[in-house]
Amino acid sequence: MISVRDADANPSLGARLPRFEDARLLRGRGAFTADVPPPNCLHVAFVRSPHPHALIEDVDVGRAGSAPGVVSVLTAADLPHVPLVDAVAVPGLVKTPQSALAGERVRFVGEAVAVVLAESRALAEDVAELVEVRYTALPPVVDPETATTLPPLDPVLTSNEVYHGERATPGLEEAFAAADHVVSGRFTTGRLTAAPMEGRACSATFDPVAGTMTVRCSTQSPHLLQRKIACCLGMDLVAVRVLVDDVGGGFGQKIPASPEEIAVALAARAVGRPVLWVEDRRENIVAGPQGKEQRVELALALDADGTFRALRCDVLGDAGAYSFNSASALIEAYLAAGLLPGAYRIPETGWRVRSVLTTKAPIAPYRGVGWTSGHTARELLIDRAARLLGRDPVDLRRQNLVRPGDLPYTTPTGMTYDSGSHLATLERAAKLVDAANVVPGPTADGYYRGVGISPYVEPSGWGSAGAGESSWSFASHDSVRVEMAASGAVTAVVGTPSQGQGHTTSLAQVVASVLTCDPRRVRVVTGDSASTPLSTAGTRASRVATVIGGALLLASERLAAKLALVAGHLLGIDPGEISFRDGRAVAPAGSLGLAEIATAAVADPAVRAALPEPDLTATAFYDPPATYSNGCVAVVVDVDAGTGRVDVVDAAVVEDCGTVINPMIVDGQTLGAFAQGVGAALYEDAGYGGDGSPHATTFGDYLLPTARCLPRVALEHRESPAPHTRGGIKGMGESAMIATPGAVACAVAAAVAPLGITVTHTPIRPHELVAPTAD
Amino acid sequence: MLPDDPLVRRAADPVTVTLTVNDRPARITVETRTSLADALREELGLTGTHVACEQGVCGACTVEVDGEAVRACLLLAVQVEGAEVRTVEGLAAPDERLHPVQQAFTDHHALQCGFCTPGLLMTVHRLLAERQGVDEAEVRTVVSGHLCRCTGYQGIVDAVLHADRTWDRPVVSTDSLPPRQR
Amino acid sequence: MKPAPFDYASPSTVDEALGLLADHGGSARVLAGGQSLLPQMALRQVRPRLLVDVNRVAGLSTRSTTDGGARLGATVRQAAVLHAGSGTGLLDAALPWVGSPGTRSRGTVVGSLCFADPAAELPTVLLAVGGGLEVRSAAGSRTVEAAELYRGPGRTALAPDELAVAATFPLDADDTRSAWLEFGRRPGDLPLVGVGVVARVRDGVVDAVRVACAGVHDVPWAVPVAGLRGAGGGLAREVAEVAARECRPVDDHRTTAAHRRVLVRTLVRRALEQVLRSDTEVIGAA
Repeated sequence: MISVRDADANPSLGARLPRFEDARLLRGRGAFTADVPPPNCLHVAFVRSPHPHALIEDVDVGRAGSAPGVVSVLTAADLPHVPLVDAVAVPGLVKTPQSALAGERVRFVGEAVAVVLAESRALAEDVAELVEVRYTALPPVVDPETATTLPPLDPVLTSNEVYHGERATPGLEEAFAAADHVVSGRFTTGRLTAAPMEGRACSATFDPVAGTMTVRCSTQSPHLLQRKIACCLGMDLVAVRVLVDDVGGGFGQKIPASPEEIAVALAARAVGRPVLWVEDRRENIVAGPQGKEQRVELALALDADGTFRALRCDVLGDAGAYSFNSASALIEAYLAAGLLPGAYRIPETGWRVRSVLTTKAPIAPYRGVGWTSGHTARELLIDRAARLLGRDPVDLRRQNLVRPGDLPYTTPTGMTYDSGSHLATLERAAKLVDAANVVPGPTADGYYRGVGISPYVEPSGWGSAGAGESSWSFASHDSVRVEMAASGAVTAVVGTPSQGQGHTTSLAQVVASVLTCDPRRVRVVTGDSASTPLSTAGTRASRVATVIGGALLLASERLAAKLALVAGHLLGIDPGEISFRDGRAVAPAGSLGLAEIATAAVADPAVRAALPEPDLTATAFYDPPATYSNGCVAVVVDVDAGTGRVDVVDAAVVEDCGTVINPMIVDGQTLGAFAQGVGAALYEDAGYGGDGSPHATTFGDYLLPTARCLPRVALEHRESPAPHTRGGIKGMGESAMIATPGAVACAVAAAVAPLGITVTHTPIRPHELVAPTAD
Repeated sequence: MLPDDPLVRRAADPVTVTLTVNDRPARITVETRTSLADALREELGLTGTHVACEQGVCGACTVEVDGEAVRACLLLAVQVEGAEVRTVEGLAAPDERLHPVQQAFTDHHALQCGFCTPGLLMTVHRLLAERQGVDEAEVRTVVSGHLCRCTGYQGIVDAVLHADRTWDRPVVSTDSLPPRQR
Repeated sequence: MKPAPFDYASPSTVDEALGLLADHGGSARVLAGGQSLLPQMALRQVRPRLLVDVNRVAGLSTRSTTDGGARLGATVRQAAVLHAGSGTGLLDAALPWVGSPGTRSRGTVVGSLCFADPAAELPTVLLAVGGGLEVRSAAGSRTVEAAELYRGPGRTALAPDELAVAATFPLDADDTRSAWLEFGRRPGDLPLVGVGVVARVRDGVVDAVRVACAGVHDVPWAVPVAGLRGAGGGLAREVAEVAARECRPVDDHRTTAAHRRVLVRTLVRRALEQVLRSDTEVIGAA
């Protein structure tokens, strides 16, 4: 179980508190974007391209314009604006702007061409069918390997390659030349989509008199969206307000501003009525930002005794149709290369990274970002090496993992692992699934059993430094505000909304850990760009616990200092003698409740005379140093060679995210990410056919894991506090999605190795696992 | 088409439907094509029922109609004339404690974003109203009719097993139990 | 995804329903459970001008036994049959695989039979047991046997003005044994391949075996097993080989032809082994 730090003084940190937001959600009183439509709003349906690549010759809205219930049909020509491009700067990355509506050509199936505004969604869909778009089809670009041989998809490009970079440590070639063994492999990870249960949704209300735009959006980053809308519409930043209440999952898909969200704001300004867009599932799967899809070629140089000497990779990322948003083209391949060493000691590494455009929906961050694909490839390769060398895969990993004595450990790619329990979590995860006793080959029931062990590192808690160690430009700017009312109730105001991570509870626990009050008396306010402190990045990259948590610790300490000043005055003692316990300021001379102190600060003239500024408000800014979580996922699978079915029969995750705020929330994040990892390994496929059409369009063919696809997962924790972040908090949330696809893939590969079948990609399909004559 | 066929409700004509929702009479005006899910949300303001796939796959829109858990996206509002509908808002009044099933969900962290939750609550409520002594395999089978992207289902399974024990409800005779699911 | 506009009728009698179909047949669809039709309509893949809702038609929701057959009215829910049992072992074995608990509360047996999804369980069950549909129109009534019913994906032998009012499934005899096995990507999914086996089994010897497969062809497919009889693993393997050799699967986005062939072989063999085992267990118990 979790060790609760300083339990007496800080009962809140480490407490398994049930969440404060639950009752409201359980009673069906959530405020998701579609639940709060603006009065008198119009409903949106987009006209979307059926072609992967085509010139738009003509858009005829004639028939549509006179249909029942229609109010307006707008095309790119009607909506002048600044196209979307983001500010993430990585040297050598070419950006291609994306318009809210495609004007001259479409570049992926589902790209929006026109926006219909009508009195209901159903009517808007009727009208959308009447919009006649004349296309001239162009050849699709589907295979990233050959994308550069085809004409560039954007006029700013000379080729479809938007990034090409190479790096190597000085001794790389020599290490390969001198190695006793070189094991290589080529692995691909399929295209996925985050598939939050609430799709994207956005409403916009323009006030022409005040010149303001009020937007409600299912987004992970209200300030980022605010900036994008202001920029795209040519409005002053403060004239745009973004509101976020409940968001039904994000997983990265809702970090970038979507072109549709810009279109909604533009439409609201154009037609003079509020506008609401609620995407349906088909839109989300087909046209929403997607994730993963990489080809990773790896080579590992080892000594005869199994010591890893060098690792080289060539990573190709399929960025989709545009390179504009959250450096979308690099969030996969580039990050994969940077974390290729993972939790292992590998002195020499080199990488070549390329990212190309194709006629597919653009890539956005999706939980685990590029680290997932790189990790999957590397773990499969290590298992391949183990089989070649006749070594136990756990033992080979044990030999090469970063050891406690190595910490802090700097990888050849420039990441410094600050602390961690890499070996301990490996041992424990292997033990929990009894890896030592999983014997490859057919079981008595005729199944083929295999175990996969997948130790990981997660670059978590991203501030500027953390991103910098991934060679990523990331303007991390977050501050928080903590206020105490005269009643003693506390409000913590932060710029990072929740999409299910439970910030309302965990951040209250952080504040309460300093003020020692009941966490239920701490109200966490977020989600209004106008009244919450700026967060340029929003909720992503497993950063809120570290960045916002750390800022709240400091702000709470500052508030506590002000409380101590007032209390000291009231008690007639030096504030230095005061400490906080059980929601009271205590000293040898006496104690005061927080409400008493707060009331005096507001109302007592003597306090004001003695302390000219007794305002019980504190702010703090925090941009943390880099930090890294770690852990290990272990999975046992049974493969039925007669059908190709894979059952995940046992699983364990042992994770270490430093100081834990709420272990129940950490468990929940781990289990959710584990499930997504199983989906990525076995079921989910958002890929495209050779004709540029997406394979999946509904939940009937984009297959999410269900409760019967998953075993009970054993969960354990270690706590290696971050030495350099406030509170020792590291953050987590993506961890199991980095490591689980690799664990499952390795387990399947181990299971079917006796049949001569190899695993080289995910998702693994059943038809790849049947032995043709197996019974 | 015969223009005056009295049996036929025209697409363009609004239809009035009278029903009972959460024990209260309701009267709504809908199109023939309006789903029950959309009608509950838009005509009655009961936005606790969520729409996530409109294909009957994810179960988020599940409500009870005449005592059965059904997907409200696959029922037309015009089909529930005279029916008794219960939504998530009807599990416990605002001034009442959480229903034992709801309480079990929060105790076991069975929700994160909360979007799939109302549909699950209605399915679980119906399951436990009709069965006692459920085991994990059966719970996973029933829960498999729902998609959740946040929780990985383990907290949900734990919550259902727990609610089975804590919800004090009339004993159901084993004779009327449906056969075990696979 | 909202459906295209449609007119709606909810007749109270079969005659009213037939009258509507006679008047509007080609542009009307019958709504029973709606678990398959409404999703298609939401995607606008089908756009009936008139939806004829038969859920309130008197007399369609009854289950009865006639002449050695279980007769299920058109609006009998899958859950109701699953709950009560039908007397037809293969139907009882297959129903837990149909849809999910959440769709079986509304989904109907007859509706699934008429929807004619070649990968679905119930049409193949009907074929395996030799059941049929009772069909009525303004002109009269007829029975359509399973072997004549299916014409292609989503297509049956029913005319646009015809209404299936009931399905009949032969009841099991004392020595009837059956097994349903299927393979889908996830447990509970619409299968890639499903196999139903019905056999008369005495003393471990299989006689009069019928094997039908879902998801292999455009329509439910009966494996040509005429004359095959025998015992134990030998028979199971032999029938599996016949099925694997005779089937003509295709590649599609769900899986490959080669995989379907392997699934046919594996599932047919296992289903027959299960049928034989179930008989052995009964004898053992006696």
